[in-house]
Amino acid sequence: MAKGNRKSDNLPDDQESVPPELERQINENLRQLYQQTLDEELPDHLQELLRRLKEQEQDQDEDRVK
Amino acid sequence: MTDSAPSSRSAKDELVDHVPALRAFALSLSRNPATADDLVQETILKAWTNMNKFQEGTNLRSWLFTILRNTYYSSRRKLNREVSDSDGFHAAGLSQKPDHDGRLALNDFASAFALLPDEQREALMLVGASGFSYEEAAQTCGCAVGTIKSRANRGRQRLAELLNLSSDEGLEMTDRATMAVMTAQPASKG
Repeated sequence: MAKGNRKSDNLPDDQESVPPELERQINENLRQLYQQTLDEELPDHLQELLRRLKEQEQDQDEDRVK
Repeated sequence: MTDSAPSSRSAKDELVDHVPALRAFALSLSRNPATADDLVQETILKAWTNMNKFQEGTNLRSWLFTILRNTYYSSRRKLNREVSDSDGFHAAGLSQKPDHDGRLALNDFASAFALLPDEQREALMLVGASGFSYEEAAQTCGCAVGTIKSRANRGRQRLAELLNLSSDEGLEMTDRATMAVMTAQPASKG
């Protein structure tokens, strides 16, 4: 992660950055948290919603072809 | 292979691939699983019905995250009284025993993370976990790159404070239970 070499936003850059090793470990924990949700199966209502939307889309496509 | 081949997967097909990541982002914002799933559902519906406004070839993931983010902030304004949701999430996290595997207990980390302000959580989740570049995160949040960097830095700093991490020590051996053992040791034998 390069430190900003642009100063276009006029904000102090990285003025409070933590040491790189701490940042790496924080990021690793963030990824673990994130991954926990990624690994979960989608709840039924979301799967159902996606299925209905796709069906609706297919129906519309078929209507257009006719 | 041609660019913009009409036979390539449509943005709607691709949208489905991003739903798990949207859920993870929604959970980090709302800190409540039920609210997060409601947010994702609303985001899917909005994205699906507004897909004609998405420019093929641009960043679909960032577009979806932006919709989710905007949905979250506008619903939060309307439902400010639901703030107590997050307290339940914190309590659930804190009530669990930390793991003793020599690393920061993820539960402790999650609880500390949930205490950060919204803008720090989203910056950290985008650049630290989702793999967004600072530029992509700035685009998603509608702010300058420097703002995202600053929010992420402040978030990391705050996490270090909440987890009792000094700048020169790592996260290993620093879950609350371990810290308690370390600090409870007698100062000296004599």
